[in-house]
Amino acid sequence: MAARHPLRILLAEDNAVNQKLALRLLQQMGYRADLAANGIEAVESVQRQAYDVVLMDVQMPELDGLDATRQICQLLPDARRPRIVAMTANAMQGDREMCMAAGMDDYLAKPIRVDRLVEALNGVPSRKDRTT
Amino acid sequence: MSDATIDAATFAELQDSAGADFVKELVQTFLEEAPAMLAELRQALAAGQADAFRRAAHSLKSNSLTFGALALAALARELELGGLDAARQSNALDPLMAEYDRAARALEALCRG
Repeated sequence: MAARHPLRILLAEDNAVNQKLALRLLQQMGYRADLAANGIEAVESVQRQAYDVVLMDVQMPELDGLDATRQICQLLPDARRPRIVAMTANAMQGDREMCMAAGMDDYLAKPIRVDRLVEALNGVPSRKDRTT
Repeated sequence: MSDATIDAATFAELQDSAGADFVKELVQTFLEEAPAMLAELRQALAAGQADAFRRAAHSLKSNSLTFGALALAALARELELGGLDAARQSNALDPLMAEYDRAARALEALCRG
């Protein structure tokens, strides 16, 4: 999948089990990902380097995924802003809406299902499609 | 929600999507990390730190769901939703600790088997 649809991916996730599993599933599709352990690191990373997509855990220490997303949207112009996909184990009503309102583009419920991950990554414009 | 210590279908699906050998490693990571989450719950409860308490409960719930530890996930979810107040009233950490021990033993057995 990575050869057909190359992506620069940032995984923002503080929990070791979730990190390893997400990296494993991505690796099986041929993707590598950079890692950010909290929202502050995620905001720093997207300013330092261009990413096509951020897989953003919502519940993180220091700065949570919602606030990190709001900061990224403020700091980067739309053309340079990566697509942001929420990952959360909150099954609460209104959770998805909260993520979208913060500026996220898509939403994955945890535990992550491979088919939903593929779908979310397919929804990210590949760097080849970009003019910038 | 089922009361199974480890839901067989969820665990099998995890092995299917990530590979059985990898799941063994992932279980080891969980068994290394979970005691710190449980300690964090206890400390946050004692210190009255609501955010840290919810976050630790949330992490434990999330990881439990990944492995199909449904009873443990349900207990952690109650703590996450109820927060400090609910936990103070009901000695809620005791059943959680007991269920964690059961889940840890079951996961170890599944990895050996």
